[in-house]
Amino acid sequence: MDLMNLKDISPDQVIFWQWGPINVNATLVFTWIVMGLMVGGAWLVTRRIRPDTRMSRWQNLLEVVVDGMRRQIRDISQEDKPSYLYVVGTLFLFILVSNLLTVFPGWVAPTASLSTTAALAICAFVAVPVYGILDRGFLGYLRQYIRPTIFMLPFNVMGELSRTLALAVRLFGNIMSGMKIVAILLAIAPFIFPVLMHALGLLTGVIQAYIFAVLAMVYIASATRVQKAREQKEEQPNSGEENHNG
Amino acid sequence: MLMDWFTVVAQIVNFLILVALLKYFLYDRIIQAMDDRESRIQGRLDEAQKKSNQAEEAAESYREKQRKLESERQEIMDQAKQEAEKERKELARKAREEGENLRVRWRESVQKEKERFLRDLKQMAAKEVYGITRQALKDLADSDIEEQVAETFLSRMKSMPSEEKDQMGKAIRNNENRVRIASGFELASGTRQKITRAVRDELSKKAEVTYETDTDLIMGLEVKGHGEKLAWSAENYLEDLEHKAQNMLERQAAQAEGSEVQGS
Repeated sequence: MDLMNLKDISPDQVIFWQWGPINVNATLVFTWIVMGLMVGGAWLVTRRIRPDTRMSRWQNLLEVVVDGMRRQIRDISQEDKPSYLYVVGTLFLFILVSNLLTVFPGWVAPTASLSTTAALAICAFVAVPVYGILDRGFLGYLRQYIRPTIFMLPFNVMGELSRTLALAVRLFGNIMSGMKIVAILLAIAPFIFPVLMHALGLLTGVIQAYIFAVLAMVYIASATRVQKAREQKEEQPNSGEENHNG
Repeated sequence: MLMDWFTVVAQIVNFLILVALLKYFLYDRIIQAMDDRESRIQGRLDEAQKKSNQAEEAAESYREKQRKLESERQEIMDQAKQEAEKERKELARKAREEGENLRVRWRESVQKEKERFLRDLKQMAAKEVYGITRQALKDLADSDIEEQVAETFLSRMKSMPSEEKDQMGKAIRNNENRVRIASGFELASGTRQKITRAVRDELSKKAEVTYETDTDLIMGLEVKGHGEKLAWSAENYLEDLEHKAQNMLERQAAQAEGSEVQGS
């Protein structure tokens, strides 16, 4: 905790360099470190990638991770679009790596900054209509806001905004609080107890990464497949009404 | 203020860059490798399936060949059996034939034996009869029996039907009137004159009669012209004897054969 004071809620407040509104703060620096680690690791592993059965352990690990994410996405969206994997998988991996690295002392998770989580939530927020429009067309996507009646329009819009806010704040709150708790506990009881909280923090970090990615996927899926399914149901009036909206 | 808007924008940019980098360095490569491996394994499995199919086909063809061989073997065996059966029948037939031939040959040899025996018997009997007769005639009256033979011959010549006489005469004339009289014994001159006269009277007036002795005749007389013959001799009796002896032998042979057939 050399870098951040206990009073600093966000790593944004640790500014290394500033020129007008442009600044280089701890969030950006640690984000770049995470990005460098991920891209460098991926490059190192996939540099000598082998398509046969005799592969390296790291390649095997990455294959398990990528295939697991792909399977999760397929389970949720019932589709096998590689573009979902690019966005949602990167969300998951970025948050996961950022959170797991808190095990190293002095590490400042970029996800502990509301700016980062907000940025990620905005990406998810933008991805939902992008995929929806790509999948069903502009009008087709907009029509879902007046379902089941036009009076639902404000509520749908509010839901859209509030869940984005929830995404951002949930992740920020969890990671930031985890870090603060560890810092406070270190100040009170330097031995043993912070380790437990640290372990709990790792678990929380993994779960939060999973939740964030899955929710993003669910929102995207709800904008595409589930809407389509509902339209198909409405065309068949005999079938019972079901609300799939996540 | 917890949120720094510049940082938010920078993080969005960072995130998009990360997406692009990971797409290139991680997802595409890994997925490509996995797909390649899958297709390779699938290819190997297909190959294995193909080879297995080929092996199955080969095995099937071998089984088919084996079945064919088996059936051919069976066929050959059957054929061999049939041929053996045929050969056996042929051999049996040949053996039977050979046996038959042997029997025929045996019968022929028996027949020959019989004939030889009969011939010998005939000759022996004739000799014996001649000997006995001669002996008896010698013992009784030497010339009388020869005289009697000549008499019998002459009476026979005289009692001949006229057409036979003509035929005989014609034959003598064709033979330049030469008549040969053969006898089994030496004729006395009186008997010769008697015969000559009788020949001239009965057969041909200009006949020149010559006499000769022929022991084959045993006992008797024979007039020979050109292919014609008039004869009386003990041959008649001998033939009768021969006939009787032959009958007896045949009966014996038939009995022997009957017992042989029963025995086999």
